[in-house]
Amino acid sequence: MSTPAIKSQPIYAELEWDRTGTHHILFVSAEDAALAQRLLSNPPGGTLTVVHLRPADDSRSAWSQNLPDTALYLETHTLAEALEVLRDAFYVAQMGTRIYLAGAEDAIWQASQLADTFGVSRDEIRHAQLGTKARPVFCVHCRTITRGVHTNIVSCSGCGRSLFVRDHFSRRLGAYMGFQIDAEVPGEVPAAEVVYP
Amino acid sequence: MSSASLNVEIRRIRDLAPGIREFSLSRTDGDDFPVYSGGSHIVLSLPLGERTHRNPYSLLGDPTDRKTWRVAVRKQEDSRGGSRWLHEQAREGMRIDIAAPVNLFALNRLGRRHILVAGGIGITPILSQARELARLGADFEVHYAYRAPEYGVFVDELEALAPGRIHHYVQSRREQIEFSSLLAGRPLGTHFYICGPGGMVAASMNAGKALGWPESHLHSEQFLAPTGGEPFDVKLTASGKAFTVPSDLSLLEAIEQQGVDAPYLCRGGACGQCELEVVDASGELIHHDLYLSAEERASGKKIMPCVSRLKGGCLTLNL
Amino acid sequence: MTIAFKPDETFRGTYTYRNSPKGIRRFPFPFHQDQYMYSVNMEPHTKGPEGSVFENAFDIDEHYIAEMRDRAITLERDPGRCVSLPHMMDAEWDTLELIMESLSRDYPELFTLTKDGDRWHWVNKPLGIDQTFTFGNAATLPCPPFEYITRQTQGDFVIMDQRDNNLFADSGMITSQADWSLMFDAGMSFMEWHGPVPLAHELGVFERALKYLLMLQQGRPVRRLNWTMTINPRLDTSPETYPEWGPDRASVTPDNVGDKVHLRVELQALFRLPRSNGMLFSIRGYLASMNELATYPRWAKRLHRVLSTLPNELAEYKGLVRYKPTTLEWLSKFDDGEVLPAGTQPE
Repeated sequence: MSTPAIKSQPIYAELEWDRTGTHHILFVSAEDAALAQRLLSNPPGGTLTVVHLRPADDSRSAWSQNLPDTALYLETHTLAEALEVLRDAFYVAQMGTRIYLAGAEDAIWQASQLADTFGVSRDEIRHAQLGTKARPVFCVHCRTITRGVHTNIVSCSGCGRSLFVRDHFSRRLGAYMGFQIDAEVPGEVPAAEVVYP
Repeated sequence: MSSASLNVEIRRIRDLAPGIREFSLSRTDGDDFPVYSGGSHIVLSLPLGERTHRNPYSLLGDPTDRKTWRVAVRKQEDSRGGSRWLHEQAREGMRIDIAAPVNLFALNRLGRRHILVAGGIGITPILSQARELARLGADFEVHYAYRAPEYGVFVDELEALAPGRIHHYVQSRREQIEFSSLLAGRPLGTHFYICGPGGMVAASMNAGKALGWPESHLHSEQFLAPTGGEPFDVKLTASGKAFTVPSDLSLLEAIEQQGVDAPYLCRGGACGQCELEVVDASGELIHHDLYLSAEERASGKKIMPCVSRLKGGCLTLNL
Repeated sequence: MTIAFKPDETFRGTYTYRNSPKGIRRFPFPFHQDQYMYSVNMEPHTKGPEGSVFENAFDIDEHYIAEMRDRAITLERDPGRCVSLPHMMDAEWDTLELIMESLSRDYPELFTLTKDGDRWHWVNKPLGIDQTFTFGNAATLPCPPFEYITRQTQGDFVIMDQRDNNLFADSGMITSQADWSLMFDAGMSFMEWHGPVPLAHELGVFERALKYLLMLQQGRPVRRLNWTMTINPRLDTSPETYPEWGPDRASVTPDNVGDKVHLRVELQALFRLPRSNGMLFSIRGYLASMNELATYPRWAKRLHRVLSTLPNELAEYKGLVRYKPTTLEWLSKFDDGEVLPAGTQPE
């Protein structure tokens, strides 16, 4: 794990259970069979709630198998639905709960914003980036968030400007900063490269 | 003085309970006090014979009262003089210096619910926190444990602040706080604050941790009274002083007596402000503070002179 | 002291902003030595020499009225330059109290504050404001208290909330910044907020600064200077409006350096706030063109040396890369190689 150049960029540690917690809420929105196997085969003490966002096909998911008997498994099919289920879970959750958010940055940071509204502190929540490295990008000019950005330069879905995607990240907005790359010399836009596959 | 100081007059002394007195202070220059945040403390400079003795006390009144500040002091039987002076020598009309408020026990303003716990004289910072929460219209409750009914100081003020949300635990009636049930089943976003005797604070922290509470939601305040100890020698490299710390003075007090200006804030081992660099120590560093990490202690390079000492030999400090 | 305000000068379009000779004389030139590097250069924010920018807690100068109008224009175009998270209301009132008390104490001929309990009467003569309100009741002011008072005070402002042994940038009035976005950075921790600053993290600067600030006491504010460069005397150099001012960086020529290139110095001060235990961070900016600075050749020489030895990472971060060579060339005319004593004082 390399140290990011900009300190606001999240560092994602390998996801582990925080066994000092006594209740656990896991939100997963991406497949990672090895991680699922590692986590679910050695569950933490206390209650475990798994909120799973999965495509509505009948493919098998590592996250729905090998669940401990005591786990509460909640399947959802859209991010909006997953966030509603998470809201209910947070509403009834008690102090001692640890929250684990695993998946694409867009999904996990939207879930994280929701946890913030419940007064959850940073030592109660863990984030893990799984699957796509695509970024949500906040345009500082028009304040639209363009989601699923794979390239270092992207056309803003709000104002159409060519935005350079910085490593500067806002947890409050759940997005990276984008600013017009050709502001100093209009039209001087380098070719975009896929850097967030 | 290391801290912005104010001269105040002791306006009123009230005996609240056996061994507990309240002091009301007002400024001698006629100006208003600044407001302060709930949980703040001030340091009183007390004239004990030839030397000045500085003790921290929590402000317990209404944080928005600009005319009067109040502190309450319990007489410590093993006192080196501070609380005894306040109980035996202090008189209404006397003037003393105090340092501007510092808050090492602040409320978390993102908290959605607050549980305040006081043991005995630990009620003082809890009272100003409760006033602040009441003013903000926040969701809070107070749990107050004391020795016997006559020791339940400020219960009337508390009841007036938050009727129905004050819970009493009277030791003489064999009532005590069961922290594992008090802290169980609390909703996300709850914060816990405790001020009381060391054993009580430790019991609550242990119960909280066992229930999975994270550190960021467990707040405690404890001031350590500097304990005396064996005399030891000190050399200060920058100011070129060499002297002996007598058994009844803290290292910080002995440094101040030499006329050397050393930094400090809380004088109770909590804030970290008085940290000094140890150049050499022939003898064992006896750390009493709540600030240094285990690693920092093990390094032997740092000491908090407000509460910590050396056992035997000579201590050389970069000051 | 009377201040001759220049109410009509502009910070956009016609750019008629200029410093009077007295204004140049008091410019807080920040370079003590021929080289620059980040450090925890904080000192007590105590009363400085009469007439200097350090004389008062919040400095008011000849640009006051014009700067406040420019702020109003920026807010009109983009109300998001003032952000305050909901838990900051006590800190907002703290800030209003601190500023009103300081200004009325330090500039009694310009500002007056009279209190009858919670009933306060505020008069701001330069801006023609006369307001009676109830302290603590936001409904009695035309806008929230933090926005109200910072629309009347030169400089940008951030209020930090202290919790979890950290400081969070949870409120701000930012209309004259060195290219950072309050809307984006609001709510960040101290380290996150300063994330984009190069080199300083590795030097441990922010770690030490944070530790120091967490223990900042009431009534004991501290200050430091920071600097960057700006093309044209423009206050609103925000990321939001980068497309408006970015092209100016490519407009510098040997003929217009003296007028266009400005040294921009921030007098940053930090105040512990009493009722919220938060911290007010004031960022008071001063602009001087190269021509104005060069009226004191010692400053021109010093700036020439600082710029020529500035690490690339810093030049890039401060956005100087495009026009640094032209500026250096222009400044070199002043630099005869004379050994300069340490210090910032002009001739």
